Amino acid sequence: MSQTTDINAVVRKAKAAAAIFGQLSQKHVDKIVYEVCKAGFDNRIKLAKLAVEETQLGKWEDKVIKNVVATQYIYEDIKNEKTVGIISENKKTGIIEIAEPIGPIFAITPVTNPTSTVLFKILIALKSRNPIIIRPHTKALNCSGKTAQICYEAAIKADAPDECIQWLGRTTRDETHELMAHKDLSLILATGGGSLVRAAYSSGTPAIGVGAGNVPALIEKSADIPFAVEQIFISKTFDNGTVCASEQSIIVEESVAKNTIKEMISRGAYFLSPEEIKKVEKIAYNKERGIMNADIIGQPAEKIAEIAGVNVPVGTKLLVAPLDGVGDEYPLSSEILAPIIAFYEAEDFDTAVNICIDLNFYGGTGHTASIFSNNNEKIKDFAQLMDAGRIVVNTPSSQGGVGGMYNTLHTSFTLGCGTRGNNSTTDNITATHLLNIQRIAKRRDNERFVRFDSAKYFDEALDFNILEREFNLNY
Amino acid sequence: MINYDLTDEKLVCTFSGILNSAECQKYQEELILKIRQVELPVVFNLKEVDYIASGFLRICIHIPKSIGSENFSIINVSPHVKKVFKLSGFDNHLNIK
Repeated sequence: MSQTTDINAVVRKAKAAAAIFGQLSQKHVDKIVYEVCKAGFDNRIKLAKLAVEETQLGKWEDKVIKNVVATQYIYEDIKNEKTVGIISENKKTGIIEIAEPIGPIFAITPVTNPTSTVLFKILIALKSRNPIIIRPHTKALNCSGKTAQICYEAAIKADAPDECIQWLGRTTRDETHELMAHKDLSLILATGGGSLVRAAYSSGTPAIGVGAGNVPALIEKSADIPFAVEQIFISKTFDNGTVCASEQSIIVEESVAKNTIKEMISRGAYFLSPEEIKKVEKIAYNKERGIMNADIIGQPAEKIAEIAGVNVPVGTKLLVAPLDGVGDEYPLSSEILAPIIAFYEAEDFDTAVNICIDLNFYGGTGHTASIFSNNNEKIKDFAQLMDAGRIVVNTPSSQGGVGGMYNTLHTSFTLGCGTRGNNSTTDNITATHLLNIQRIAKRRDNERFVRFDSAKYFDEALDFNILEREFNLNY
Repeated sequence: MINYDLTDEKLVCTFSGILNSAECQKYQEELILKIRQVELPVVFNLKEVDYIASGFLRICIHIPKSIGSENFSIINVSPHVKKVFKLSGFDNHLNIK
Protein backbone atom coordinates (compact mmCIF):
# COMPACT_ATOMS: atom_id res chain seq x y z
CA MET A 1 0.00 0.00 0.00
CA SER A 2 1.37 3.38 -0.90
CA GLN A 3 0.78 6.70 0.77
CA THR A 4 -1.33 8.91 -1.41
CA THR A 5 -3.65 11.83 -1.29
CA ASP A 6 -5.34 11.13 -4.61
CA ILE A 7 -8.72 10.89 -2.96
CA ASN A 8 -10.53 9.27 -5.86
CA ALA A 9 -7.83 6.64 -6.15
CA VAL A 10 -7.97 5.92 -2.42
CA VAL A 11 -11.72 5.43 -2.44
CA ARG A 12 -11.63 3.42 -5.67
CA LYS A 13 -9.18 0.98 -4.07
CA ALA A 14 -11.30 0.79 -0.92
CA LYS A 15 -14.41 0.11 -2.99
CA ALA A 16 -12.66 -2.75 -4.78
CA ALA A 17 -11.51 -4.15 -1.42
CA ALA A 18 -15.09 -3.95 -0.13
CA ALA A 19 -16.35 -5.99 -3.06
CA ILE A 20 -13.81 -8.74 -2.36
CA PHE A 21 -14.39 -8.56 1.39
CA GLY A 22 -18.08 -9.33 0.94
CA GLN A 23 -17.23 -12.86 -0.21
CA LEU A 24 -15.20 -13.84 2.84
CA SER A 25 -16.47 -16.43 5.30
CA GLN A 26 -16.65 -15.92 9.06
CA LYS A 27 -13.75 -18.32 9.51
CA HIS A 28 -11.59 -16.42 7.06
CA VAL A 29 -12.46 -13.06 8.62
CA ASP A 30 -11.71 -14.37 12.09
CA LYS A 31 -8.32 -15.60 10.93
CA ILE A 32 -7.49 -12.15 9.52
CA VAL A 33 -8.61 -10.47 12.74
CA TYR A 34 -6.51 -12.87 14.82
CA GLU A 35 -3.37 -12.28 12.73
CA VAL A 36 -3.78 -8.50 12.79
CA CYS A 37 -4.45 -8.51 16.54
CA LYS A 38 -1.35 -10.64 17.09
CA ALA A 39 0.84 -8.36 14.96
CA GLY A 40 -0.42 -5.27 16.76
CA PHE A 41 0.04 -6.88 20.16
CA ASP A 42 3.55 -8.10 19.37
CA ASN A 43 4.53 -4.55 18.39
CA ARG A 44 2.81 -2.93 21.38
CA ILE A 45 6.01 -1.63 23.01
CA LYS A 46 7.69 -0.43 19.83
CA LEU A 47 4.55 1.44 18.76
CA ALA A 48 4.05 2.96 22.22
CA LYS A 49 7.58 4.33 22.29
CA LEU A 50 7.21 5.59 18.74
CA ALA A 51 3.98 7.40 19.70
CA VAL A 52 5.52 9.22 22.66
CA GLU A 53 8.69 10.03 20.73
CA GLU A 54 6.71 11.59 17.89
CA THR A 55 3.85 13.30 19.75
CA GLN A 56 5.63 14.14 23.02
CA LEU A 57 2.38 13.28 24.82
CA GLY A 58 1.72 10.88 27.65
CA LYS A 59 3.82 8.02 29.02
CA TRP A 60 5.10 5.18 26.86
CA GLU A 61 4.34 2.59 29.57
CA ASP A 62 0.67 3.65 29.61
CA LYS A 63 0.57 3.70 25.83
CA VAL A 64 1.71 0.06 25.95
CA ILE A 65 -1.36 -0.68 28.07
CA LYS A 66 -3.54 1.21 25.60
CA ASN A 67 -2.11 -0.90 22.77
CA VAL A 68 -2.79 -4.06 24.79
CA VAL A 69 -6.41 -2.96 25.32
CA ALA A 70 -6.72 -2.07 21.64
CA THR A 71 -5.58 -5.54 20.59
CA GLN A 72 -5.98 -8.25 23.24
CA TYR A 73 -9.05 -6.79 24.97
CA ILE A 74 -10.72 -5.79 21.73
CA TYR A 75 -10.04 -9.26 20.36
CA GLU A 76 -11.54 -10.90 23.45
CA ASP A 77 -14.59 -8.70 23.04
CA ILE A 78 -15.23 -9.35 19.34
CA LYS A 79 -13.72 -12.75 18.59
CA ASN A 80 -16.92 -14.74 19.13
CA GLU A 81 -19.23 -12.17 17.55
CA LYS A 82 -21.01 -13.37 14.42
CA THR A 83 -20.48 -10.76 11.73
CA VAL A 84 -20.89 -12.73 8.50
CA GLY A 85 -24.03 -14.04 6.83
CA ILE A 86 -26.88 -15.33 8.97
CA ILE A 87 -26.19 -14.20 12.51
CA SER A 88 -29.51 -15.07 14.16
CA GLU A 89 -32.64 -17.04 13.43
CA ASN A 90 -35.77 -16.88 15.56
CA LYS A 91 -38.25 -19.56 14.59
CA LYS A 92 -41.00 -18.11 16.77
CA THR A 93 -40.92 -14.61 15.32
CA GLY A 94 -39.81 -15.72 11.87
CA ILE A 95 -37.06 -13.14 11.82
CA ILE A 96 -33.69 -14.12 10.37
CA GLU A 97 -30.88 -11.58 10.59
CA ILE A 98 -28.14 -11.33 7.99
CA ALA A 99 -24.98 -9.31 8.58
CA GLU A 100 -23.69 -7.39 5.61
CA PRO A 101 -20.64 -5.13 5.57
CA ILE A 102 -21.37 -1.44 5.24
CA GLY A 103 -18.53 -0.55 2.86
CA PRO A 104 -15.48 1.71 2.96
CA ILE A 105 -14.87 3.43 6.30
CA PHE A 106 -12.88 6.62 6.75
CA ALA A 107 -11.26 6.72 10.18
CA ILE A 108 -9.90 9.92 11.66
CA THR A 109 -7.55 9.17 14.54
CA PRO A 110 -6.32 11.43 17.34
CA VAL A 111 -2.92 12.56 18.56
CA THR A 112 -3.72 11.42 22.11
CA ASN A 113 -4.11 7.72 21.25
CA PRO A 114 -2.34 7.59 17.89
CA THR A 115 -1.51 3.88 17.79
CA SER A 116 -4.22 2.32 19.96
CA THR A 117 -7.12 4.03 18.15
CA VAL A 118 -5.66 2.92 14.81
CA LEU A 119 -5.40 -0.68 16.06
CA PHE A 120 -8.94 -0.56 17.44
CA LYS A 121 -10.58 0.90 14.34
CA ILE A 122 -8.75 -1.49 12.03
CA LEU A 123 -9.77 -4.54 14.06
CA ILE A 124 -13.48 -3.65 14.20
CA ALA A 125 -13.47 -2.74 10.49
CA LEU A 126 -11.86 -6.04 9.49
CA LYS A 127 -14.15 -8.04 11.75
CA SER A 128 -17.12 -6.53 9.95
CA ARG A 129 -15.50 -7.05 6.50
CA ASN A 130 -15.07 -3.38 5.77
CA PRO A 131 -12.03 -1.71 4.22
CA ILE A 132 -10.69 1.19 6.22
CA ILE A 133 -8.84 4.37 5.33
CA ILE A 134 -6.89 5.86 8.22
CA ARG A 135 -6.29 9.60 8.36
CA PRO A 136 -3.84 10.12 11.24
CA HIS A 137 -3.44 13.33 13.20
CA THR A 138 -0.78 15.51 11.56
CA LYS A 139 1.41 15.28 14.67
CA ALA A 140 1.25 11.47 14.63
CA LEU A 141 1.69 10.62 10.95
CA ASN A 142 4.64 8.31 11.49
CA CYS A 143 3.44 6.23 14.45
CA SER A 144 -0.14 5.94 13.20
CA GLY A 145 1.08 5.08 9.70
CA LYS A 146 3.51 2.49 11.06
CA THR A 147 0.67 0.91 13.07
CA ALA A 148 -1.53 0.70 10.00
CA GLN A 149 1.31 -0.76 7.97
CA ILE A 150 1.95 -3.52 10.54
CA CYS A 151 -1.75 -4.36 10.53
CA TYR A 152 -1.95 -4.34 6.74
CA GLU A 153 1.02 -6.65 6.30
CA ALA A 154 -0.48 -9.11 8.77
CA ALA A 155 -3.87 -8.90 7.07
CA ILE A 156 -2.39 -9.58 3.63
CA LYS A 157 -0.53 -12.60 5.00
CA ALA A 158 -3.92 -13.93 6.11
CA ASP A 159 -5.23 -13.42 2.58
CA ALA A 160 -7.24 -10.26 3.19
CA PRO A 161 -8.27 -8.18 0.17
CA ASP A 162 -5.66 -5.84 -1.28
CA GLU A 163 -5.97 -2.29 0.05
CA CYS A 164 -8.29 -3.36 2.83
CA ILE A 165 -6.28 -0.97 5.04
CA GLN A 166 -5.02 2.32 3.64
CA TRP A 167 -3.42 5.16 5.51
CA LEU A 168 -2.89 8.69 4.42
CA GLY A 169 0.10 10.93 4.81
CA ARG A 170 -0.27 14.63 5.44
CA THR A 171 -3.54 15.72 3.93
CA THR A 172 -4.89 19.17 3.36
CA ARG A 173 -8.19 20.24 4.89
CA ASP A 174 -9.72 20.20 1.39
CA GLU A 175 -8.56 16.65 0.75
CA THR A 176 -9.97 15.49 4.08
CA HIS A 177 -13.31 17.17 3.31
CA GLU A 178 -13.33 15.72 -0.20
CA LEU A 179 -12.81 12.25 1.20
CA MET A 180 -15.47 12.69 3.87
CA ALA A 181 -18.02 13.72 1.26
CA HIS A 182 -17.04 11.10 -1.33
CA LYS A 183 -20.08 9.34 -2.74
CA ASP A 184 -18.51 5.89 -2.41
CA LEU A 185 -17.61 6.28 1.24
CA SER A 186 -20.00 4.51 3.63
CA LEU A 187 -19.11 5.78 7.10
CA ILE A 188 -16.81 8.16 8.92
CA LEU A 189 -15.44 7.13 12.31
CA ALA A 190 -14.23 10.46 13.62
CA THR A 191 -12.11 10.87 16.72
CA GLY A 192 -10.49 14.26 16.95
CA GLY A 193 -11.05 17.93 17.55
CA GLY A 194 -14.51 19.48 17.58
CA SER A 195 -14.21 21.14 14.17
CA LEU A 196 -13.13 17.92 12.48
CA VAL A 197 -15.97 15.95 14.06
CA ARG A 198 -18.47 18.66 13.03
CA ALA A 199 -17.09 18.55 9.48
CA ALA A 200 -17.65 14.78 9.46
CA TYR A 201 -21.28 15.23 10.52
CA SER A 202 -21.94 17.86 7.89
CA SER A 203 -20.28 15.92 5.07
CA GLY A 204 -23.45 14.09 4.08
CA THR A 205 -21.82 10.71 4.81
CA PRO A 206 -23.08 8.78 7.85
CA ALA A 207 -20.69 9.47 10.71
CA ILE A 208 -19.97 8.34 14.24
CA GLY A 209 -17.98 10.99 16.02
CA VAL A 210 -16.65 11.18 19.52
CA GLY A 211 -18.09 14.06 21.50
CA ALA A 212 -16.14 15.91 24.14
CA GLY A 213 -16.20 14.69 27.72
CA ASN A 214 -16.29 16.57 30.99
CA VAL A 215 -16.49 13.75 33.47
CA PRO A 216 -17.62 14.56 37.02
CA ALA A 217 -16.63 12.05 39.71
CA LEU A 218 -18.94 12.25 42.71
CA ILE A 219 -17.62 10.89 45.99
CA GLU A 220 -20.73 10.16 48.02
CA LYS A 221 -20.47 9.90 51.80
CA SER A 222 -20.88 6.10 51.86
CA ALA A 223 -17.86 5.67 49.56
CA ASP A 224 -14.67 3.91 50.62
CA ILE A 225 -12.62 7.10 50.52
CA PRO A 226 -9.03 5.75 50.27
CA PHE A 227 -10.21 3.35 47.56
CA ALA A 228 -12.07 6.08 45.68
CA VAL A 229 -9.07 8.40 45.69
CA GLU A 230 -6.74 5.58 44.64
CA GLN A 231 -9.02 4.71 41.70
CA ILE A 232 -9.29 8.31 40.56
CA PHE A 233 -5.50 8.61 40.64
CA ILE A 234 -5.14 5.40 38.58
CA SER A 235 -7.44 6.95 36.00
CA LYS A 236 -6.57 10.63 35.95
CA THR A 237 -2.81 10.18 35.90
CA PHE A 238 -2.95 7.37 33.30
CA ASP A 239 -1.04 8.51 30.21
CA ASN A 240 -0.99 11.97 31.82
CA GLY A 241 -4.75 12.34 31.54
CA THR A 242 -5.17 11.95 27.77
CA VAL A 243 -8.23 9.68 27.93
CA CYS A 244 -11.47 11.53 27.15
CA ALA A 245 -13.30 9.42 29.74
CA SER A 246 -10.94 10.53 32.52
CA GLU A 247 -12.25 12.45 35.52
CA GLN A 248 -12.25 16.21 35.06
CA SER A 249 -13.56 17.08 38.50
CA ILE A 250 -14.12 15.60 41.93
CA ILE A 251 -17.29 16.53 43.80
CA VAL A 252 -17.24 15.41 47.38
CA GLU A 253 -19.80 15.60 50.15
CA GLU A 254 -18.65 17.92 52.91
CA SER A 255 -18.76 15.21 55.59
CA VAL A 256 -16.03 13.21 53.83
CA ALA A 257 -14.13 16.09 52.22
CA LYS A 258 -11.39 16.31 54.83
CA ASN A 259 -10.54 12.63 54.54
CA THR A 260 -10.66 12.85 50.73
CA ILE A 261 -8.23 15.79 50.68
CA LYS A 262 -5.87 13.98 53.06
CA GLU A 263 -5.90 10.86 50.87
CA MET A 264 -5.32 12.93 47.76
CA ILE A 265 -2.35 14.77 49.20
CA SER A 266 -0.81 11.51 50.42
CA ARG A 267 -0.94 10.22 46.82
CA GLY A 268 0.75 13.22 45.26
CA ALA A 269 -2.00 15.78 44.78
CA TYR A 270 -1.11 19.45 45.02
CA PHE A 271 -3.99 21.79 45.92
CA LEU A 272 -3.61 25.08 44.05
CA SER A 273 -4.24 28.40 45.78
CA PRO A 274 -6.61 30.90 44.07
CA GLU A 275 -3.58 32.79 42.69
CA GLU A 276 -2.02 29.56 41.41
CA ILE A 277 -5.32 28.57 39.78
CA LYS A 278 -5.18 31.79 37.76
CA LYS A 279 -1.64 30.94 36.64
CA VAL A 280 -2.60 27.41 35.60
CA GLU A 281 -5.74 28.64 33.82
CA LYS A 282 -3.63 30.91 31.64
CA ILE A 283 -1.52 28.08 30.27
CA ALA A 284 -4.10 25.28 30.34
CA TYR A 285 -7.03 26.97 28.66
CA ASN A 286 -7.36 28.97 25.47
CA LYS A 287 -10.04 31.53 26.35
CA GLU A 288 -10.39 32.80 22.80
CA ARG A 289 -11.15 29.37 21.38
CA GLY A 290 -12.93 28.16 24.49
CA ILE A 291 -10.98 24.90 24.68
CA MET A 292 -8.00 23.40 26.47
CA ASN A 293 -4.57 24.52 25.31
CA ALA A 294 -3.01 21.81 23.12
CA ASP A 295 0.47 22.48 24.53
CA ILE A 296 -0.35 21.04 27.95
CA ILE A 297 -2.30 17.97 26.80
CA GLY A 298 -0.70 14.79 28.13
CA GLN A 299 2.09 16.59 30.00
CA PRO A 300 3.15 15.60 33.54
CA ALA A 301 1.78 17.63 36.46
CA GLU A 302 5.22 18.90 37.49
CA LYS A 303 5.98 20.15 33.98
CA ILE A 304 2.63 21.95 33.77
CA ALA A 305 3.29 23.57 37.15
CA GLU A 306 6.71 24.67 35.98
CA ILE A 307 5.30 26.21 32.78
CA ALA A 308 2.66 28.00 34.86
CA GLY A 309 5.23 29.29 37.33
CA VAL A 310 3.83 27.37 40.27
CA ASN A 311 6.17 25.71 42.76
CA VAL A 312 5.06 22.19 43.62
CA PRO A 313 6.73 19.46 45.68
CA VAL A 314 8.85 16.94 43.80
CA GLY A 315 6.71 13.92 42.97
CA THR A 316 3.48 15.88 42.42
CA LYS A 317 1.21 13.79 40.23
CA LEU A 318 -1.97 15.82 40.08
CA LEU A 319 -2.79 19.53 40.21
CA VAL A 320 -6.07 20.12 42.04
CA ALA A 321 -8.08 23.30 41.60
CA PRO A 322 -10.67 23.91 44.34
CA LEU A 323 -13.46 25.84 42.60
CA ASP A 324 -16.80 27.26 43.66
CA GLY A 325 -18.44 27.49 40.28
CA VAL A 326 -18.82 25.94 36.84
CA GLY A 327 -18.65 27.66 33.45
CA ASP A 328 -16.68 30.17 31.42
CA GLU A 329 -15.62 32.08 34.54
CA TYR A 330 -13.97 28.90 35.79
CA PRO A 331 -11.85 27.56 32.89
CA LEU A 332 -10.60 24.59 34.89
CA SER A 333 -14.17 23.35 35.20
CA SER A 334 -13.97 22.32 31.53
CA GLU A 335 -12.34 19.31 29.88
CA ILE A 336 -8.54 19.41 30.26
CA LEU A 337 -6.76 16.28 29.04
CA ALA A 338 -3.88 16.58 31.49
CA PRO A 339 -3.29 15.81 35.19
CA ILE A 340 -5.33 18.82 36.32
CA ILE A 341 -8.61 18.27 38.14
CA ALA A 342 -11.27 20.60 39.54
CA PHE A 343 -12.42 20.01 43.11
CA TYR A 344 -15.77 20.90 44.72
CA GLU A 345 -17.12 20.45 48.22
CA ALA A 346 -20.91 20.15 48.55
CA GLU A 347 -22.94 20.35 51.71
CA ASP A 348 -25.08 17.30 50.85
CA PHE A 349 -25.82 14.75 48.14
CA ASP A 350 -28.38 16.88 46.27
CA THR A 351 -26.04 19.84 46.14
CA ALA A 352 -23.25 17.57 44.90
CA VAL A 353 -25.51 16.18 42.17
CA ASN A 354 -26.48 19.71 41.12
CA ILE A 355 -22.80 20.56 40.66
CA CYS A 356 -22.37 17.36 38.63
CA ILE A 357 -25.31 18.38 36.41
CA ASP A 358 -23.68 21.76 35.79
CA LEU A 359 -20.36 20.09 34.91
CA ASN A 360 -22.07 17.46 32.79
CA PHE A 361 -23.86 20.14 30.77
CA TYR A 362 -20.72 22.26 30.50
CA GLY A 363 -19.31 20.42 27.50
CA GLY A 364 -19.74 16.80 28.49
CA THR A 365 -23.31 15.74 27.74
CA GLY A 366 -23.66 12.15 26.62
CA HIS A 367 -20.14 11.07 27.51
CA THR A 368 -19.29 9.60 30.91
CA ALA A 369 -20.03 10.24 34.59
CA SER A 370 -18.55 8.58 37.64
CA ILE A 371 -19.71 7.92 41.18
CA PHE A 372 -18.06 6.34 44.20
CA SER A 373 -20.73 5.10 46.59
CA ASN A 374 -21.96 2.07 48.46
CA ASN A 375 -25.57 3.22 48.41
CA ASN A 376 -27.41 1.66 45.47
CA GLU A 377 -30.35 4.06 45.66
CA LYS A 378 -28.06 7.07 45.37
CA ILE A 379 -26.14 5.44 42.53
CA LYS A 380 -29.39 4.98 40.60
CA ASP A 381 -30.56 8.53 41.40
CA PHE A 382 -27.25 9.95 40.23
CA ALA A 383 -27.27 7.89 37.03
CA GLN A 384 -30.76 9.04 36.08
CA LEU A 385 -29.83 12.68 36.59
CA MET A 386 -26.66 12.56 34.50
CA ASP A 387 -26.78 12.88 30.74
CA ALA A 388 -24.12 10.24 30.07
CA GLY A 389 -23.81 7.18 27.89
CA ARG A 390 -21.95 5.38 30.65
CA ILE A 391 -22.09 5.95 34.38
CA VAL A 392 -19.20 4.09 35.95
CA VAL A 393 -19.44 3.04 39.59
CA ASN A 394 -16.51 2.62 41.98
CA THR A 395 -14.25 2.48 38.95
CA PRO A 396 -11.42 4.52 37.43
CA SER A 397 -13.41 6.24 34.68
CA SER A 398 -10.69 6.27 31.98
CA GLN A 399 -10.50 2.50 32.06
CA GLY A 400 -14.16 2.04 33.03
CA GLY A 401 -15.46 4.06 30.10
CA VAL A 402 -13.34 2.10 27.64
CA GLY A 403 -14.84 -1.14 28.99
CA GLY A 404 -13.58 -4.68 29.34
CA MET A 405 -11.28 -4.21 32.33
CA TYR A 406 -13.49 -3.09 35.22
CA ASN A 407 -16.93 -3.83 33.77
CA THR A 408 -18.60 -5.70 30.96
CA LEU A 409 -19.15 -2.76 28.61
CA HIS A 410 -17.86 -3.43 25.10
CA THR A 411 -14.18 -2.53 24.91
CA SER A 412 -13.93 0.49 22.66
CA PHE A 413 -11.90 3.56 21.81
CA THR A 414 -14.95 5.26 20.33
CA LEU A 415 -17.50 6.08 22.99
CA GLY A 416 -20.93 7.03 21.68
CA CYS A 417 -22.38 10.12 23.32
CA GLY A 418 -26.02 9.98 22.27
CA THR A 419 -27.96 12.73 20.59
CA ARG A 420 -26.89 15.43 23.01
CA GLY A 421 -23.28 14.59 22.13
CA ASN A 422 -24.28 14.66 18.43
CA ASN A 423 -24.12 10.87 18.15
CA SER A 424 -26.76 8.41 17.04
CA THR A 425 -25.93 6.07 19.91
CA THR A 426 -24.67 6.00 23.49
CA ASP A 427 -23.06 2.59 22.92
CA ASN A 428 -19.39 1.80 23.10
CA ILE A 429 -18.79 1.44 19.36
CA THR A 430 -17.71 -2.01 18.25
CA ALA A 431 -17.73 -4.25 15.16
CA THR A 432 -21.49 -4.78 15.23
CA HIS A 433 -22.03 -1.05 14.67
CA LEU A 434 -20.28 -1.41 11.32
CA LEU A 435 -22.80 -3.80 9.82
CA ASN A 436 -25.97 -3.42 7.84
CA ILE A 437 -28.39 -5.93 9.33
CA GLN A 438 -30.86 -7.33 6.80
CA ARG A 439 -33.93 -9.04 8.19
CA ILE A 440 -35.87 -11.82 6.55
CA ALA A 441 -39.42 -11.55 7.89
CA LYS A 442 -41.24 -14.85 7.37
CA ARG A 443 -45.00 -14.87 7.48
CA ARG A 444 -46.34 -15.05 11.00
CA ASP A 445 -49.98 -13.94 11.00
CA ASN A 446 -51.07 -11.51 13.68
CA GLU A 447 -54.00 -13.50 15.04
CA ARG A 448 -55.92 -10.40 16.09
CA PHE A 449 -55.47 -8.73 12.71
CA VAL A 450 -56.74 -11.83 10.90
CA ARG A 451 -59.87 -12.37 12.97
CA PHE A 452 -60.81 -8.70 13.37
CA ASP A 453 -63.49 -7.35 11.10
CA SER A 454 -61.63 -4.42 9.53
CA ALA A 455 -64.89 -3.04 8.09
CA LYS A 456 -65.48 -1.65 11.58
CA TYR A 457 -62.71 0.91 11.03
CA PHE A 458 -65.09 2.66 8.63
CA ASP A 459 -67.88 3.06 11.20
CA GLU A 460 -67.55 6.57 12.65
CA ALA A 461 -69.68 5.61 15.65
CA LEU A 462 -66.93 3.31 16.91
CA ASP A 463 -64.17 5.13 18.78
CA PHE A 464 -60.70 4.00 19.79
CA ASN A 465 -61.72 2.58 23.16
CA ILE A 466 -64.41 0.35 21.66
CA LEU A 467 -62.27 -0.94 18.81
CA GLU A 468 -59.15 -1.38 20.95
CA ARG A 469 -61.15 -3.58 23.32
CA GLU A 470 -62.64 -5.61 20.49
CA PHE A 471 -59.26 -6.00 18.78
CA ASN A 472 -57.75 -7.47 21.95
CA LEU A 473 -60.81 -9.39 23.18
CA ASN A 474 -59.90 -12.80 24.65
CA TYR A 475 -56.34 -12.35 23.54
CA MET B 1 -49.32 25.12 46.90
CA ILE B 2 -47.58 28.46 47.40
CA ASN B 3 -46.54 30.29 50.55
CA TYR B 4 -45.75 33.98 50.19
CA ASP B 5 -43.17 35.66 52.36
CA LEU B 6 -43.13 39.41 51.77
CA THR B 7 -40.38 41.63 53.17
CA ASP B 8 -39.41 45.22 52.37
CA GLU B 9 -36.89 43.91 49.88
CA LYS B 10 -38.44 40.99 48.08
CA LEU B 11 -41.26 38.54 47.67
CA VAL B 12 -40.30 34.90 48.26
CA CYS B 13 -42.74 32.38 46.81
CA THR B 14 -42.17 28.96 48.30
CA PHE B 15 -43.70 26.14 46.30
CA SER B 16 -44.34 22.61 47.45
CA GLY B 17 -45.57 19.37 45.97
CA ILE B 18 -45.99 18.49 42.35
CA LEU B 19 -46.36 21.50 40.06
CA ASN B 20 -48.41 19.80 37.35
CA SER B 21 -50.46 21.61 34.73
CA ALA B 22 -53.59 21.77 36.87
CA GLU B 23 -51.72 23.23 39.86
CA CYS B 24 -49.99 25.80 37.70
CA GLN B 25 -53.25 26.85 36.08
CA LYS B 26 -54.85 27.14 39.50
CA TYR B 27 -52.18 29.46 40.89
CA GLN B 28 -50.95 31.31 37.82
CA GLU B 29 -53.42 34.19 37.95
CA GLU B 30 -53.08 34.72 41.68
CA LEU B 31 -49.30 34.55 41.47
CA ILE B 32 -48.97 37.04 38.65
CA LEU B 33 -51.40 39.42 40.33
CA LYS B 34 -49.44 39.24 43.57
CA ILE B 35 -46.14 39.89 41.81
CA ARG B 36 -47.57 42.92 40.02
CA GLN B 37 -48.97 44.31 43.27
CA VAL B 38 -45.79 44.16 45.32
CA GLU B 39 -43.45 45.64 42.69
CA LEU B 40 -40.44 44.00 44.34
CA PRO B 41 -37.85 41.46 43.25
CA VAL B 42 -39.28 37.94 43.25
CA VAL B 43 -37.66 34.73 44.41
CA PHE B 44 -39.10 31.30 43.67
CA ASN B 45 -38.05 28.80 46.33
CA LEU B 46 -38.42 25.27 44.90
CA LYS B 47 -37.03 23.38 47.87
CA GLU B 48 -40.09 21.14 48.18
CA VAL B 49 -40.67 20.63 44.46
CA ASP B 50 -39.81 17.45 42.58
CA TYR B 51 -41.82 17.89 39.40
CA ILE B 52 -42.62 20.88 37.22
CA ALA B 53 -44.98 20.95 34.23
CA SER B 54 -44.73 23.08 31.08
CA GLY B 55 -47.13 25.50 32.74
CA PHE B 56 -44.53 26.27 35.42
CA LEU B 57 -41.85 26.93 32.79
CA ARG B 58 -44.31 29.34 31.15
CA ILE B 59 -44.71 31.18 34.46
CA CYS B 60 -40.91 31.33 34.84
CA ILE B 61 -40.60 32.91 31.40
CA HIS B 62 -43.51 35.29 31.90
CA ILE B 63 -42.32 36.82 35.16
CA PRO B 64 -38.95 38.21 34.03
CA LYS B 65 -40.72 39.76 31.04
CA SER B 66 -43.01 41.58 33.40
CA ILE B 67 -40.58 42.63 36.17
CA GLY B 68 -37.18 42.37 34.47
CA SER B 69 -34.85 39.39 34.56
CA GLU B 70 -32.60 41.06 37.15
CA ASN B 71 -35.52 41.03 39.58
CA PHE B 72 -36.32 37.35 39.34
CA SER B 73 -34.41 34.38 40.70
CA ILE B 74 -35.03 30.73 41.49
CA ILE B 75 -33.41 29.04 44.47
CA ASN B 76 -33.13 25.59 46.04
CA VAL B 77 -33.81 23.56 42.92
CA SER B 78 -33.69 19.80 43.39
CA PRO B 79 -31.48 17.83 40.98
CA HIS B 80 -34.58 16.58 39.14
CA VAL B 81 -35.85 20.08 38.54
CA LYS B 82 -32.38 21.38 37.72
CA LYS B 83 -32.10 18.81 34.97
CA VAL B 84 -35.42 20.00 33.50
CA PHE B 85 -34.14 23.58 33.38
CA LYS B 86 -30.90 22.38 31.77
CA LEU B 87 -32.56 20.20 29.15
CA SER B 88 -35.09 22.89 28.26
CA GLY B 89 -32.31 25.47 27.92
CA PHE B 90 -34.20 27.74 30.34
CA ASP B 91 -31.17 27.86 32.63
CA ASN B 92 -29.53 30.19 30.10
CA HIS B 93 -32.30 32.75 30.51
CA LEU B 94 -33.14 32.44 34.18
CA ASN B 95 -31.18 33.22 37.31
CA ILE B 96 -31.09 29.82 39.01
CA LYS B 97 -29.09 29.60 42.20
